[in-house]
Amino acid sequence: MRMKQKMNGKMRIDKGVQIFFYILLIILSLSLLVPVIWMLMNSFKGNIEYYQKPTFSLPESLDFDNYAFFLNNIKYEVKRPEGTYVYTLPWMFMYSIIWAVVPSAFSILVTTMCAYVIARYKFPGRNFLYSLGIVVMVLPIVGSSGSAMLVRRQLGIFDNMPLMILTGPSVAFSGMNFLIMYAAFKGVPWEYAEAVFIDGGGHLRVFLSIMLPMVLPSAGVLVLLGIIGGWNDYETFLLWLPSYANVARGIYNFQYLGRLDLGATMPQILAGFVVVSLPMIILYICFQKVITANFMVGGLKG
Amino acid sequence: MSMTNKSKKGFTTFKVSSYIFSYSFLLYPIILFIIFYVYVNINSIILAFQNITLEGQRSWVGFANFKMFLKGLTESGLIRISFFNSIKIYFINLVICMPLYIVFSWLLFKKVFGSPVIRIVIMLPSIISSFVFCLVFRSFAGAPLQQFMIGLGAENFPNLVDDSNYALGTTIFYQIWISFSTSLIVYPNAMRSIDPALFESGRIDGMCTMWQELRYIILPLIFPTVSTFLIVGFSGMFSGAGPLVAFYMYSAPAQAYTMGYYILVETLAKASNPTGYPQIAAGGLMLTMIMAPLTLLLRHILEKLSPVEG
Repeated sequence: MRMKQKMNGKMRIDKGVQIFFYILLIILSLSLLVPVIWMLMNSFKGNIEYYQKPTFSLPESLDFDNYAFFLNNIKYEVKRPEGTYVYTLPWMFMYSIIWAVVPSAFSILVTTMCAYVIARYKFPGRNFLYSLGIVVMVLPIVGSSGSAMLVRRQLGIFDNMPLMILTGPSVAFSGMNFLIMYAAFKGVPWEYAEAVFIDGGGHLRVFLSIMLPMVLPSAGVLVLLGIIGGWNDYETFLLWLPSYANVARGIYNFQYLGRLDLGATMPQILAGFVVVSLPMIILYICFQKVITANFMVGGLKG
Repeated sequence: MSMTNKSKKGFTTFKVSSYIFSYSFLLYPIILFIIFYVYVNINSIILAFQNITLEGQRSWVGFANFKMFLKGLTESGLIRISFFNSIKIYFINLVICMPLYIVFSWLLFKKVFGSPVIRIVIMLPSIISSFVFCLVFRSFAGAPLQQFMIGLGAENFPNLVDDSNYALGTTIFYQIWISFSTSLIVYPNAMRSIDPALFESGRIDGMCTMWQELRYIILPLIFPTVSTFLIVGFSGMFSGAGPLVAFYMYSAPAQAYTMGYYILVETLAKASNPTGYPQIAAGGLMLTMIMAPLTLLLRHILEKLSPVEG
């Protein structure tokens, strides 16, 4: 009887704790909604309305002038030795697409090739490479960015997009992507490959026609996540590719300098934020299940 | 006998061809690794003992850069602020966030009321672009939030972004706030991979509370995920610049500096002026020498503590 009472008391406390954390979770969710709602509502307001009306008031009308202003006026000027370049929105979108797709696809391809041979072939140095990859992943190297800048400048890679892409996968046998692809190849039965070898097929044929299609879903998710990362990447353009501009770099610049250079108002800047978000919202809606279901982190063993 | 020789020869040919195939796949990434990881880091070590002019001419200065960095670390200034802020941010994340990640993830895993909607809302920063979300937060948390709070009666409510006294707090809050977006996808997914029969047998054994389920079933089984987050977070303690670039470009208030941001501003942001690189390289080398063994030790301890094979 006393045991049962004790148990009931314990469960009541537990229920209370659960409700407390549930309320916290709801508050967290609502807090994440606040800036988004604020952005949407104010992107339709005029400048006077924005400053005079309460910040969370509904816009007086659904006026798309701010969006039109952003689409027509966003630009980014860069000075190159050969002259001044002006990037307009279509150019920025083009560079965004290139930077989102090409580096992630190329990097995942190189990582996949590394993961395949390390996971499925026995050759001298294999275990060393695997362990090295884990050490590189875990080992914190601080302060080498200055040296990286000097080396990239010497090699002509600084401010050169094609070379930046080609030299991107410098630690292809390390990192989470490698571990995911490594695990994916480990999970594919080797009997399929043996059947191809018996039929006279070579190593490349096994990789291209048997192994690669088997791990394509995992690789596809990584490319997708890479695309999202590439689309959001303004820092690489700010630091390593200052003569180029993607949409992220453009909106970053528009937010800081738009008011000075173009006389842009806060609602026009917010309209810009909405426009720039749209491609990722569409991508997320299309691949929501794939993205959320495959987001898992395992252990680091090596 | 001749058959055996033939098959032996065939096996050797296959072995050689598999070596050639393996190395051909690895050649390009290894070349890149040697140049952009090994050489860059060796060059950084050498740079730590040198002086560099605006024109790029180098000369040996012994341990002068290390002394300068140590001086900066012991005296008040950007280096000291950056160093302690980085440590502060990691431990605040560890103490406040980790338990919340686990408990919130448990609630989502248990499919509490409204969990599908909560999951989508939590994902918002990723859905509408993390960098746009950062810029929206920066725009919102400054003057608009201040005006809104004053309107509600909080007359002395500060500008959380532009007031240098609140800049670090705002940055830490943003990092914690945004980190739920990733964690509340990763942890519930890890929890979902646990065999449901374990929960059933736990219930039969009398496990009836959330804490018991978390302590005896979930935490031991998602330990590899937790330890990976801990190790990666620890190893990156002095590398990440956080949202400071998005918030302030290169002119963040001194109080908000982190080591990652300091290094970024001193090196990459001054791309055409390499004179500051040696001191950063020296400081980085010292921090690496402290952090590398500590990270490996942490990894070793977590592996020893791990109740499951990772």
